[in-house]
Amino acid sequence: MQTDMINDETRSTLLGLFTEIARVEHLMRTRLERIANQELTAAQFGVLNHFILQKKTEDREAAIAWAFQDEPAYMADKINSLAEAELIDVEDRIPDRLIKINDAGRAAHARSLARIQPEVAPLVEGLELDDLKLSLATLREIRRTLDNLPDR
Amino acid sequence: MALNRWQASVVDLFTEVGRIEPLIRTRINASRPAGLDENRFIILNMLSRARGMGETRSALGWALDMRDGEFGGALTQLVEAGLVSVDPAADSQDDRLSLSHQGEQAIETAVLALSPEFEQLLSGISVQTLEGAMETLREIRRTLDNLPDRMGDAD
Repeated sequence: MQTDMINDETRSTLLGLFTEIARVEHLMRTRLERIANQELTAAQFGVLNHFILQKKTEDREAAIAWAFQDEPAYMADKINSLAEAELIDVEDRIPDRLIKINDAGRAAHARSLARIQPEVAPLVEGLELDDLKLSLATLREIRRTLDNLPDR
Repeated sequence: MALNRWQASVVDLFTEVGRIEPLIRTRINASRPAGLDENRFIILNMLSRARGMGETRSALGWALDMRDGEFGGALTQLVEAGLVSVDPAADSQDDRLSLSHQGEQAIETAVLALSPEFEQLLSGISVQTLEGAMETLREIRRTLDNLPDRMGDAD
């Protein structure tokens, strides 16, 4: 049977990992929302962060929605709110809009990161950089696998 | 102020966490193993990990940090479906929640239903590596749980 391929220990570890992912995601999102709310919502920060981390200056709206697993209409709302704040530029193209981060968007992202810094500082106390990097690599691997599943 | 390498790695880690969470949520909500959506799956999973000792309603609500409606709604459905037992302790205002036998079966069925998904994720990642990632996240989550303003949220 296929399910014999993974044992109880593995299953339990994965479930534990998913539970931690869900809890950390929720805690961080609510904190970021609280800190950054003078300027950006966590959702807006996420979109700007997408450009910065991927080292992209432009991306298609549908591709960003796919990356975040957002409904197109929800992503459109985020994009519109960022465009209204003049943090991104939007070009109407076919089949979907082309989104470009602008200098004001980069500056807003940098300001938010600086504001997050004191929150992040205590979290790394006691963590080894090597452990952190290995965990990051593991999560990246899991995310890439999830991104590449046939039904994604 | 620029982030140092540790802090930058943590921000990258959160970015991955932020991307994985909706992917897992969408998959669980789409397959609804044993009829459970993600919130209900997580509540049962947390109770299952409490190893039969159960949790108080307020402790579980705090740990999951879901806002009242979200947590309460999911919990009420689980209690009504007979998956979670409520033990109202006489000397305490806080109900103790535990998995019923039916709840144990539901989480077991759900986990088995998710096994094929797990197998795909596990190709190429060892259990030790997964444990390492879980430990790091747990450490970060414990720090987050103990920050002064988070403690205040428990009231």
